[in-house]
Amino acid sequence: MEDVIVVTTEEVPGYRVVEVKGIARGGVVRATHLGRDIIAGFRNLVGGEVREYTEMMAEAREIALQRMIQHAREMGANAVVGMRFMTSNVGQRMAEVYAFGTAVVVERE
Amino acid sequence: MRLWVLPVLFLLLSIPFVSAQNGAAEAFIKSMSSGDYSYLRPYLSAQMQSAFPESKFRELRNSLIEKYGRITNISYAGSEGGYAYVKVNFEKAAVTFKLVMEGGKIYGIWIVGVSRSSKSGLTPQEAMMEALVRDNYSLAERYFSPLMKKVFTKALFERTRGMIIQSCGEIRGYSFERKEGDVYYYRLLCEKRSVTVTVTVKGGLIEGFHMGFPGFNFALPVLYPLIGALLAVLALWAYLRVIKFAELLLGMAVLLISLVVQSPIQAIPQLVGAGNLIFQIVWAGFIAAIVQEPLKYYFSRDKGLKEALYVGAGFGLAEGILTLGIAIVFGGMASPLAMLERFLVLMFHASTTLLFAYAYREGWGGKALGAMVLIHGVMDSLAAYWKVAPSLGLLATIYIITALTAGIVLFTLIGKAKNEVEEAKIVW
Repeated sequence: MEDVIVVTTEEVPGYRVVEVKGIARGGVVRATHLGRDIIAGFRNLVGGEVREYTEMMAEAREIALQRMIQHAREMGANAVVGMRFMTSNVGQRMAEVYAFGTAVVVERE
Repeated sequence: MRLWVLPVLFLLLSIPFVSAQNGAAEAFIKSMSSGDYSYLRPYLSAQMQSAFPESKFRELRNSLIEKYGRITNISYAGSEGGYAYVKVNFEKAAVTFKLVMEGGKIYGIWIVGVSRSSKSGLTPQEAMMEALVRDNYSLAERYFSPLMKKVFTKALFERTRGMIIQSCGEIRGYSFERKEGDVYYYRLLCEKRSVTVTVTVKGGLIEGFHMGFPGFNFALPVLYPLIGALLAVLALWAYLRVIKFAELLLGMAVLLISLVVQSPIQAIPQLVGAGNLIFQIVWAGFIAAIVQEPLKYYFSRDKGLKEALYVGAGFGLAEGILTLGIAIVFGGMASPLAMLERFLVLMFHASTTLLFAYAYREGWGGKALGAMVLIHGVMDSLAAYWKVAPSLGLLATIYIITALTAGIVLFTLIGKAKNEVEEAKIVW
C-alpha cells in the first residue's frame, strides 16, 4: 500500500485535494518505569537533559503519529494535511501525545 | 586534617574513660570479694558515699550471701555506654550488678540480673533464660509446647546461642524488663553488649522465643550477604560490559512490592492456627514463589534481554540489602557461606527474568513462568525446612538447585543478551 503523505501545511505541493475524509487522529499515554523515574529524579537534582523523559516523549510522538496514519488509511485517505501534535499530562509522570490532521484523498496535478 | 585522625583521636580520648570504668569496676570487685569497703569508697560519688555507706554495703553483701550462699567468683562483665557490669557468682545464683558511671565515679549500683543455679522454682520464661545462660537446653525443653519442641530443636538452640555469643560475647546473665500480654521481655547481658529477647508463654508452656532489637551491630560478617550480591552484579557487568541502573532500581522496587503482598499471605496459617509444620513450610515457600515470580514476569517480559536480566539482578540486590539490614537491626550473623548464597540467589533471579523476557517474545512465557514458580517454590520450601532442621546435606541441595537453574538459563541465554542489538533510541 502506498505511503500516506503527512504534511503540516494545508496543501500538498504538486497534488490537489479531491476528497476530504474527516479528521484522522492517533493518541497514546506513555509512562516510563519506576527505575527510570528514579534516575530522572537524580538528573532533576543535577540539571541537564533528562534523557529518560526525552526518549519517552519521542517514542510517544512516534506512536501517536503512526496511529494517526493508520486511522487515515482506514478512512480511505492517502494524505493527511494540517497535521498537529498536542500533549497533556494525564497523571504524575504520564504524558498523553495526540496527533491529528485532516485525512484527504489527493491526486497529482 | 586527614580523616583517619578522627577515629584515632576518638580511641585515644576513650582510653581514660574506659580505664576509669574498669578501675571502678575493679574496686567494686575487690570490695565485694573481700568485704572491705575501703576499695570502693574512693570511686563512689559524693551522693553515693552518703546514700551507700559502709553499713549499707555490708548489709547488701551479707543479705546476698545469706540468700544465695558464699561468693565463688566475681568477674567484670563488660561495659555499655556509661554503665559497667560486674557478675558475682554465689553458690546458688549469679547476680549481675550494673554500675552507673560518670567521670570515673560510681553514681549508682543496680542489681540487673539474677540467674539461679537451682532448677526448682523456675517459671517457663525463666527456664528459657537459664537455658541460654547455662547452655542447658533441657532446662527449657520441659516447658516447650509441642510445636516449639518440633521447631526449636537442640541444634537450633545451640546455633542461636552460638550466634548470640559470636555477636555479643559470652552470656553473663539476664534481667527481666517487662511483660506484654503473653510475651516476656528480657535483657540478656553479654560480654560486649546486651540484647533484648522475648519469650512467649501460653498456658504454662513456651510458645515462642525471639531475638529482639539489640541495636546496631555493624561487624564485618553482616556485610557478607551484600558482598555476595554485589559480586554477582559485578560478574554480570564484567560479562555484558553494560549496566542498567534504571532496571536495577526497578527490580528493587519489585522486591518491595512482593514483600508487601506475600508477607500477610504467608502469615495466614499462623493466624488461623494451622499447626502442621510441613504445611506451614510448604505454604511459606510456595507463596513466596507464587507472588514473586509473576511480579518479576510482569515487570520484565516486554523488555530487552539485558534490561530484563538487570530487573532480576536488582531484585536479588535488594534482597541482599534487606538481609544486611535485618542483620544490622536484629543482630543476626552471617558466615562467608552467606556470600555464596547471595551470589547464587542473585544469579537465580537474574536468570529467571532473562528467561521470562526471552520466553515471552518466543511465545512460551506462561510455561517459563510456571516452571520458575515450581522451582522457586521447592527451593524456598527446602530453605524454610532447613531453618527448622538444619543439615549440611539439605543446604547443599538448595545451593545445587539454585546454581543449576541459574547456570543452565544463563549458559543458554546470556550470550543472546550480550549480542542483542538494542533498538536505536528515538530522540527527535
